[in-house]
Amino acid sequence: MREALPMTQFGLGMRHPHYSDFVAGHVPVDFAEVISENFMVAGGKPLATLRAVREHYPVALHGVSLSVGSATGLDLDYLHRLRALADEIDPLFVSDHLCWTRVPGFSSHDLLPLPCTSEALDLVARHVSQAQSVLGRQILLENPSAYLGFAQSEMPEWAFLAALCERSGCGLLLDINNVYVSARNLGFDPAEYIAQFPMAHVHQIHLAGHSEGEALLIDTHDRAVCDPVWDLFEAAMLRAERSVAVMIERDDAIPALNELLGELDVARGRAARAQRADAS
Amino acid sequence: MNLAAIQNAMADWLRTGDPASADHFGESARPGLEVYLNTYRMQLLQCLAEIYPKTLEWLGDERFYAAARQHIMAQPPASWTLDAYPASLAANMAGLCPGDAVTAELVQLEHALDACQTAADHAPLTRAMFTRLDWEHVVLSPAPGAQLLAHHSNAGAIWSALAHAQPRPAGSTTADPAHILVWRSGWVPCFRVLDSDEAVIFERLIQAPMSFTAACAELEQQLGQGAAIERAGLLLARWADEESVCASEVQYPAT
Repeated sequence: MREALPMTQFGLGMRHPHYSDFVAGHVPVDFAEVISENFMVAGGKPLATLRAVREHYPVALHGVSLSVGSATGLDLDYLHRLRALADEIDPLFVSDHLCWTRVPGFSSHDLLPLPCTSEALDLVARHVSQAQSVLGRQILLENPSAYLGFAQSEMPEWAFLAALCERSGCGLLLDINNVYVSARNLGFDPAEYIAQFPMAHVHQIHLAGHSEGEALLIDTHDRAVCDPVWDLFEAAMLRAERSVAVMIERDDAIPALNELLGELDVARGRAARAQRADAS
Repeated sequence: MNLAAIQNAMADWLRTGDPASADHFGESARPGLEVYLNTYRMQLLQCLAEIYPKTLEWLGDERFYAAARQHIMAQPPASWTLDAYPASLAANMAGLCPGDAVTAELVQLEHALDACQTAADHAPLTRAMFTRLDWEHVVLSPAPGAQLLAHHSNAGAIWSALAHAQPRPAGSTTADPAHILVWRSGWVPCFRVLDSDEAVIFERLIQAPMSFTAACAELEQQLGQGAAIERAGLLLARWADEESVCASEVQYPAT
């Protein structure tokens, strides 16, 4: 039996239809997560909203534009703007994705996949260190959902991420739905991925829904978490080695807040069950 | 392929949809590449439709999305922020809809209204400040995100009709431009047509802050001394009521 873990935190991704609920401070969550780029602006209502929310809740900053895997380097202007926001908000975490989004002169605004090669590991580790240095804090990287694999890959993604944490000192955001989507799309075993994932480095967990495309699962965040993803979550919580912040992400077809809070209660129940199983 | 080659090939695929770019990844990667291409294009279309709802309504789905698709192919995004992308459509609309000044100016107006919403915050001039300020030392600046647009069309009237679900006027143009000021009052984006003497002042204000005495001198040049004093009072009251101007006192060092 392991020593009891510090309490798990439960939160929600804060999206526009629910801003006023969070501003009022009436949402029963431990933290809120926002998309960093939506608030990396000079002023206006978005920033005022975030400041008001921050008075009630710890806020995690989750980015989509760091492009930590870009072969041509990081965008320092972006990093300095993120630093300014982080310095003001004093976030619970600053996170982004193991991906690339741009090449010089072109930004895809999508989380594009990286091959798990030693070349990519060297580059991403260098960029993570540079980003942490500019930001003055540790960042978390999230495993992305993938729609194609690379013949060049030399190691599984979980091994890539474990090596990255050791080399750069970053932490991890484990997106359970992304594991499931990628596993189904690329043909690996999601349970084995979770069993091997370097949980000692995981600070945050994302839960979300996906949809069935013609040939592939699509990470749409437009519906409830499905049962196989809940099962993987429970398996991950059984292996948790530190306090983690668990949250539901919904980016499309956003339902009433109560529905999301109901899903978060399911997460609480599954986490508690994992902890009881671990203790027995 | 090394990392840079992979990324260049994938960027080419997204920009062009050219099957030759996809060939680098092998046939098995094709379904995944289609997902990335679809996500990329849909996201940009959705972004443009969200920022330009009045232009979308004015043109209709077919014409708007055709122009947007053409724009996405001609001018892919380059900035880290998606917020920067709609500006390129506003700049490009005259080329996408040649001879249609109304649509080009409507999209320009919508862009200015959107952009001012995240401009830096500054406290506006208020009537309560009138008696507190030493007007000899007051410097005026435009409200957050202010832009001055020279419009030859009735795009502003069309925007207002669409916003209030009223019958839309037919598009029309005039030879002489109207000067439209766009700004943010509190959190609300606003616009209105300026009087000609105001437009001269805002043309300078948009470039750089301007002393109140210089604004008065500008009015005096246009209206004569007596009328300029009365007009300056009226304009200050208007600007304070609509929060279109900021004012601060600048103390010059003693010489």
